[in-house]
Amino acid sequence: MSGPAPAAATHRGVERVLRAIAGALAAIGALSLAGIFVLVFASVLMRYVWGQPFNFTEELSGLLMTLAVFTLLPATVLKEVHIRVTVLSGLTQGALQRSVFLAGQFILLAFCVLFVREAWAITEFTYTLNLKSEQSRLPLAPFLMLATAGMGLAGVAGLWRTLRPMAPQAEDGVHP
Amino acid sequence: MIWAALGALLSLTVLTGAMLGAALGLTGFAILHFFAGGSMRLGVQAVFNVLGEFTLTSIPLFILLGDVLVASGLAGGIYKALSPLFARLRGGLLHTNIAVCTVFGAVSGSSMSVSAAVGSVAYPELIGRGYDKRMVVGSLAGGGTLGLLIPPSLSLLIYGALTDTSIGKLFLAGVVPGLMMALLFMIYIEIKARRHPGLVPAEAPLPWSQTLRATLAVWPILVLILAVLGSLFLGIATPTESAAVGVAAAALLGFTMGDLTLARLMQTFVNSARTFAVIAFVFLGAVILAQSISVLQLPQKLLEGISSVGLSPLLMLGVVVLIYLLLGMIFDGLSMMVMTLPVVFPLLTGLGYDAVWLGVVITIMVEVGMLTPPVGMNLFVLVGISKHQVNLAQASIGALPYWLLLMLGLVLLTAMPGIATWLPSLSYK
Repeated sequence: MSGPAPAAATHRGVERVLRAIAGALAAIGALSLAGIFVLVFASVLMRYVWGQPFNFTEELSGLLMTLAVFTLLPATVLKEVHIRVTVLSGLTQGALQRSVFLAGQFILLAFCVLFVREAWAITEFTYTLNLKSEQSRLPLAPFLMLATAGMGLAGVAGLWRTLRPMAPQAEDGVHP
Repeated sequence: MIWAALGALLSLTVLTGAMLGAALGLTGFAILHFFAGGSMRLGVQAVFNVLGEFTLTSIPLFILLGDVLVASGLAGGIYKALSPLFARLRGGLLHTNIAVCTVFGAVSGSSMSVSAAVGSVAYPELIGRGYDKRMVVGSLAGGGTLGLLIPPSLSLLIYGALTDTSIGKLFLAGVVPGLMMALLFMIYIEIKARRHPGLVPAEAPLPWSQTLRATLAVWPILVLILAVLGSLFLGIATPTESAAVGVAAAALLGFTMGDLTLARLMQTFVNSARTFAVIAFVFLGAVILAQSISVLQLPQKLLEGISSVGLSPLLMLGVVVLIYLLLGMIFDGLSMMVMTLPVVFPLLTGLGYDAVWLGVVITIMVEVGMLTPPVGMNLFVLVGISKHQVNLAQASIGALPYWLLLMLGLVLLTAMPGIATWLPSLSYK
């Protein structure tokens, strides 16, 4: 026999799993940003101290930046730390407020679905042709795959928030 | 037809309270799908292309630089160093607020970082000394806006990246207007303090020898400014490289002279990543919207329409400023800039305005937005720092003179564009 308690346990379980995946991706994002810093600083040192600059700094930094943006996205969607215009939702109450919220979430989901559909086509094309960056010949497909997956997971996080809206937890911040 | 669709879609998606990046992006997708032959892939391709640009990688690094400085607790040292100098003026430590925000603005690219860093040190100190709360919060909110105008500036960086304008020129262009605004703020404080002595307690000035000795303690931050801005302006480093050098220097200063620990530095990376993610999502959506607007050549069509009606460039600038003032009430400043640039930039440069000058003007409008309730981000930060001793309405009233002074700055900049364009014209010939 299933009741409210098992349902709540399932919800907590899903929340935990999503937070763990989003957290792992966010860690990749934070490491990517740290990587940009280390790479650029090392490149400056190599150029001015040893006179031998890296030839891959600009391209790898750009790819790490792309990676960071998309891998950080699911955690921020899950923790609802995004910029929103809340004028309308602030003026409404009850069922109307819920409808406005659902409309907003639908926009997020529609955006994620369309983005993933188009990004996947680009990723597939890049993978099939084994496209590489112009100068340093870095393979582009892995970065695009992770970026597409990040946006997909952001959509899943948004869907979960739509079905199961929860108050932000203690560690969740507000947007800057 | 297309303008009505664009306006309706934007209003509809944004006002639902959807995440702003998704609202902008979906509007862009819809425009590309229904008006540009279903070419939504162009929007996604534009996102991958723009995010891969090296210049843009300086944005997270400048955010990191500001956060490392805040985490290092260096603001307290700078505050102590500059306080004796400004205590000699009638406005006392309110002047110090502006001066420290100016100095901090020269190493941090974010208005809110500056407000938070200086506010957390200055607010309890000044309230303890009996300064008027509204005056304190106003000066900190107003001073915080200097973080965006004085280079390095996130606003100018994003503007440069989105419009393909030289970041070096933009940074140089922000220097004189930034100093001008700091001076205007100080003049206002001095006049107000002299007219209403009850609001500002008199400070006992230290002897000049002690004052100068204390002021010399500001040298670490001057070294940092030299490392960040000097390397950039001398052409030794790109904006991204100067940001990376700045982060390394700030961390070094934080470890040796501040309270920075390895654990705190790691936490700073995480915090910066989170801040960056929020900005990046809005940016991502705006890129798709910009692509849709660009594909349909909407700004060019708007320009042709304006030419046929015979609107003067000055009047058009006035209309844009008015729109920014209205948008500033519901959007945070940077989001407002990112979402409007695809139309505003080609429109105003097409009417003959200089791209670098326009970057400074739009940055001032972003700053105005930071002080405009109900979504004035600097006001939120300071209400938080005051632990709600000051509410949003009081903070808004306190910041109103600075809001008006920023508008005055805008008028001066329009009347005398050389305030912004003179310095870049000396360095980039």
